[in-house]
Amino acid sequence: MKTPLFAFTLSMIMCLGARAELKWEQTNVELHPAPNDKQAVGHFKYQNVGKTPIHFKSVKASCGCTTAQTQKEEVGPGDKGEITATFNIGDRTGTQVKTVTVETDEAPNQKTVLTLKAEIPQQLEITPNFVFWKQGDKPDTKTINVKVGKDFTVKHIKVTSATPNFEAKVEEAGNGQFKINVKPQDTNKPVASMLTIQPEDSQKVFYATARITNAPTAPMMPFAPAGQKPPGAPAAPTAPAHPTAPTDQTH
Amino acid sequence: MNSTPNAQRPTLNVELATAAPASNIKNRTANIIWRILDFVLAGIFIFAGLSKILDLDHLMADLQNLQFANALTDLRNLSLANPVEFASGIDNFKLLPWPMSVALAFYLPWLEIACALGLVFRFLYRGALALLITLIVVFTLAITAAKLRGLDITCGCFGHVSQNWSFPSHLATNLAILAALLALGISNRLRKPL
Amino acid sequence: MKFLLARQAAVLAAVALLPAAGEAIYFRNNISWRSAIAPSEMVTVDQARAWGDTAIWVDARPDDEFARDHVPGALSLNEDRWNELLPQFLAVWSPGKKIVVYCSSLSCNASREVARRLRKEAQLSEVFVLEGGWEAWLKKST
Repeated sequence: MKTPLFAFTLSMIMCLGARAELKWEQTNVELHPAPNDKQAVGHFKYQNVGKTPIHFKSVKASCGCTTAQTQKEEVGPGDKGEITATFNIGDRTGTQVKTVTVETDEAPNQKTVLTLKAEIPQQLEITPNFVFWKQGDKPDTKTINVKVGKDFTVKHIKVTSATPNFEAKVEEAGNGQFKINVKPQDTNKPVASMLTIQPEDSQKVFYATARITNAPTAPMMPFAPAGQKPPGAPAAPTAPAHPTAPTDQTH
Repeated sequence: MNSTPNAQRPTLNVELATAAPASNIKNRTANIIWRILDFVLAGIFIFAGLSKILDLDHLMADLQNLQFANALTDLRNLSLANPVEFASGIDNFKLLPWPMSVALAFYLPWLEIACALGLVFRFLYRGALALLITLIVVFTLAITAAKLRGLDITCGCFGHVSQNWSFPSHLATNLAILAALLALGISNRLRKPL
Repeated sequence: MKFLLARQAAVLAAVALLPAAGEAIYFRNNISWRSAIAPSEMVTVDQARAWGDTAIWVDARPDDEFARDHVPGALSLNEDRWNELLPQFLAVWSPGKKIVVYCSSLSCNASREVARRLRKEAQLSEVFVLEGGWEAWLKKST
């Protein structure tokens, strides 16, 4: 009984000794990019604390927006290096978590997941950024809520409509909040307008969309599959109430 | 009933009388310290409760940046926070079903404030202390369980404010609060024999 | 002795219920007690195809992938150029349309993110995510 145990222990020790090992300084990096940054870069430093060289088999990011680069393909014993993960922020907002999966030849299927967490500061949070009226609806006022991000101070905002079809008025609600009251002139014709929202003393512009949409057309599929409501059904009762709304529009 | 305890009382009184002046000051200072601790802990729990009921993001950000004028405006314009956030925070621990998370999201902040007021005004004091100890123990167990399960949680204990705290800081803070509460409990027992 | 503590705690617990109930009533329309998760947002290729013209297809993949190939008639809406592409999408959407968002495969996250932003920011309803993504579409198209 003793010999197998001795052999087993010996093999364990030898395994440990011979094992290649890539040790990571950290596998979770948290970034706080500045508001105008286009990229957030995370550095994942490693060191080969084993006795044999390590090769990177693959370095893959979880999304197309993140690219990861190793400086070298082979890491000799004792060597240090880093994997640089570049996250292209684009128009993303809020907390973004992206991962890079690194596969090495340390052991079969040896994968390490590097996590990049970036807090994207958002100067204004606009909800909803889309207001619409159906053709023939009452042209009542709809409200867009604007909330200033907690790391920012915005005292006033300016809102302009690209077309005169919509009127936009700003109401200050205090505590970093504003209300934009949007009212269409009329809802007779389908039109769309971009509302430009600009915080005072800022170059950055935000957008919202206002639209008069077509009156939904009559159902095109009288033999709709079971469980699906014909899209025009809800509109049918309202159509007769608005005799002035033309049912077919050519524009 | 045996009259032996009664017979022993006069002796105790004599002892106290002779030791009076020195221990009085010590007692008074001790009492003041405990009272201060009452207020500090109450303050912590009132803040914790309020941060979930009201939207304190801007106020806290301005205070941290030392923008006191802005902070005053924020105070005047305080609005209610959306309970969905705290409910989601509780739900993230994956310990309770959603409807319970919603119920707790509404209830817990007020419980914290009620108990904190109990500490301040020495009203229903022991009950308040017991509830607060229970709450902090439950919170600590919850964040530890979440950490062990690898869940990604932002504690939600102090609303948005504690979003960026790490687990060790959370744990340390909770344990410190627990220690302080227990100390109050024990000292209270000693000062006011049951 | 023990009961005093329990009684005090019970009184406090009851007292706290009052403002909590008040708050719950005040927010009754702002929070769903039943479920945190929206009803299932996934659709299969077959289901989405059955919607015919009621469906608007949205490609959440990066520009180069969209350019190479996409579902016929699909609109590009990705997070890289969200601010530019969203108004274009909103100009085409109309009430009653079902939005089907897809990205490359079952495992990519972009379609869920785009769907989430459409629901949260534009407050559109009937936003669905294509199960299996572009890969699934291709399989059904051959």
